[in-house]
Amino acid sequence: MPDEGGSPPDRDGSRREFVSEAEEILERLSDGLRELERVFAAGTPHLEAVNTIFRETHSLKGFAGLLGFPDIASLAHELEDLLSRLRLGGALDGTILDLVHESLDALFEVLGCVRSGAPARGDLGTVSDRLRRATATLVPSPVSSLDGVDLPPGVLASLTEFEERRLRELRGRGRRLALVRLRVDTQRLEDDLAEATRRTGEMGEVIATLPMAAGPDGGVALELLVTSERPLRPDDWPRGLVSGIREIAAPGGHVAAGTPGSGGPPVAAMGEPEAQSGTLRIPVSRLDDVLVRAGDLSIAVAALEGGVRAISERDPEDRLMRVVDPLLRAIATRLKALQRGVIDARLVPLEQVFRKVGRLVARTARAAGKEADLHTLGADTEIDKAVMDALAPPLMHLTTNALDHGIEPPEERQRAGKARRGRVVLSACRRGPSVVIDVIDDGRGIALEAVRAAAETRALIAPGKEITRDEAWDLIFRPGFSTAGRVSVVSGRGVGLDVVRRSLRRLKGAIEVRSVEGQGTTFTLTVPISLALVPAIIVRSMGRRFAIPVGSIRENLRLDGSRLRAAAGDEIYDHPAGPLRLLRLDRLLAGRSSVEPGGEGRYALVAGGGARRTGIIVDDLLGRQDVVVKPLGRWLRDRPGIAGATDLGDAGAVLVLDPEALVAGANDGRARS
Amino acid sequence: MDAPAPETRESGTGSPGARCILAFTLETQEFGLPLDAIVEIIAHGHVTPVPHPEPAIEGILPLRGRMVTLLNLRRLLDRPEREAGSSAQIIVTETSGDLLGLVVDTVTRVMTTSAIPEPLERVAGLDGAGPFEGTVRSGDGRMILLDLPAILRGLE
Repeated sequence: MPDEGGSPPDRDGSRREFVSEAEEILERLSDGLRELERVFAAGTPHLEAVNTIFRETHSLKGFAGLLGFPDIASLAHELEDLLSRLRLGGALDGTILDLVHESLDALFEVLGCVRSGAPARGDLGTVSDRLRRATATLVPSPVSSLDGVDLPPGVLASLTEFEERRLRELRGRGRRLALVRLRVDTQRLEDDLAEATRRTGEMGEVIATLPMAAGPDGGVALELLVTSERPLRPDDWPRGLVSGIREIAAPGGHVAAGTPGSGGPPVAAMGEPEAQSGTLRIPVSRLDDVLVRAGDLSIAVAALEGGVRAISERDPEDRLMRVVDPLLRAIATRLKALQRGVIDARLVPLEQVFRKVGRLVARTARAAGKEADLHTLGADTEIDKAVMDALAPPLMHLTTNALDHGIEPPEERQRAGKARRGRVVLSACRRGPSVVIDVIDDGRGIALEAVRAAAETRALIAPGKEITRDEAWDLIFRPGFSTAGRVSVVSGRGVGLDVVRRSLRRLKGAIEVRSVEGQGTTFTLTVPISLALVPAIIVRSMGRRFAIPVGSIRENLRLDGSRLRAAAGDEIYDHPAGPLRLLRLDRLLAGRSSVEPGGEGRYALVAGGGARRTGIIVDDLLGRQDVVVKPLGRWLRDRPGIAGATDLGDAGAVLVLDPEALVAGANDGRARS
Repeated sequence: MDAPAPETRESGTGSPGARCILAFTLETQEFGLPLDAIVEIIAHGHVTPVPHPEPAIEGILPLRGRMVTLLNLRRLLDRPEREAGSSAQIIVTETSGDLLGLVVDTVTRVMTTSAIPEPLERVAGLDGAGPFEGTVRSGDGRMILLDLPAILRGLE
């Protein structure tokens, strides 16, 4: 990083750059940690996994130090110390793993603050202190001497404590030792080195990578210090990567004669520059700017289309309009493609959030005394960055719940004839304009009777009232159902499920639950792929237009007047799937009651699942359209049932409704009254 | 980089303490609003009503890709409603990133005053309890200065 004067934009740019880069390192660190958890649980050697984490931590430290983030660098340093003790044979246990998890969490949090420019929350210092204390408790295991190894002077000196120790260990087991000279191309240094290391790993173990003076033809020379069981030959590596091998110690401790460092085939020709220049990292806000401009442009074009239509209707023979009309249509089509393109550019695979959840699993399970594995399916499903970020808290919440309350303790599972280790599955797939994510556990499921009892205690239902399965599923999402006291009585589910539902509503999505007692629970989350453009149905009601997001509509009914009946102040529709409660928009939007009720009421849009299933009566369906949802000013932001507004390019704004909230509001109101 | 010198700059319009006021009318009474918070003035029309407990909140209107919340000043100040069909204008203000449009009869002019507002006596049925800074002389009569922060507080 060049030394710059630190004017604000540079500082900003380097901060953004740092955060992106550091987050990538942290993601890889988390992957490494998951792998470590896996091998640790399986009881297999974990040195390789520790090494991976150690390397990433080391890069993070260097990187943070370079760009002037001393707190992050110092935490990384402590973590590195801890890991290096593990590499030297310190005993790994759950407490240490938890501490590594905590360090990563703290780093993620600090990075979030750096990204948003907010003052740092959390206390890296505390975590650093604990790392230091834990490091002090880790004792390296003893190793044998380096007898009979004739390393060139300088090589031994350049080995790190860990490398030397590893060398002693492997020599102690009588492995051969050799220096393998690599000829790598400067242009493809990393790739070549990675390939050589990988190949070597198949035959033995790379103790250290040692840089040499540059070769005569400008290439880079490196030596790998390798231990192996069998002798190595240059053609063990492809493409002339290896130019010579010098055996240093034969098996059992005899010094071998050096073989001349030549003889490999010539170095492979330099590869063509790649045609595709790979990826480009840019701030999401820049894409958003483009999207907003494209949106404004499409509004202007829609207005122009309206004008042309008006003139054409007045005078169908107007020649100018007959020329303009198809041109305008072509512009509109291309503009839509442009908008789609920008939206696609914002899409990222769900993998990131799945990993974040994955980091939770081992630790939460351990804390709860459970054994469980996380499986993910469809992690490559793409979704808007903003939606993905907003999905993280509800997904983490649901996963924690599943581990805490859903999955039974190992002994209980065995008694029930299940595998000791529970399973939590995150599964994602795309469905039209939505992404559907299932959070599935094979735990004990939700006990209907426990829900009923809890709801009765909290006065959510009348005492002694029987409830149906659908009603139970509805009750667990109610505010107040779970906030009072421990909920583990309710065979588990429910710590703040109302919060989960609310965050999904903000995403214009929905959540449903299915559960079979004794077998498990599935939460199904449906969210739009992007919030920038929301596919919506434009309806007319009370003489006004409204936009209703397609994602929250389950069914679209044409009403048959003969099937309408009134019951207890409600309008009920005899739907083939069972009686359906109907609600009128004028009542839902509880504004001035001066609007005369009725209207034609020819259609109903069905929203809400289970006991909440409700049809919203509208007069007419005007069409389907992708709308840009604009937030309302703060004075109107919390109006129930209104998600925002959109400008369709003609007269005035159109309110975008939130049917889930409308239906929920109507239902909750009923329950209380 | 040098920070701008903190000395007061003399603007062409006059003495320190002078304020630019946008003048408008509700019925026959003249009102004024400091110019700094005002973004622009647009014609009233095509309002989309949004239900709200405060009846003076009329609804919303799109303005270049953003939504303006409309506040009917006649209703807020308990004045009689405008006659149906009469035109109105909207003074769009911006606070904390949100646009609030004040619906008025007619915007008349921009004036500069350095006068300290006098307390509002009863003028045209309004009294000092409302969101007013006071009155200043304007031509032959007096203009009532609205206190925008007080109006905003009343809406929170």
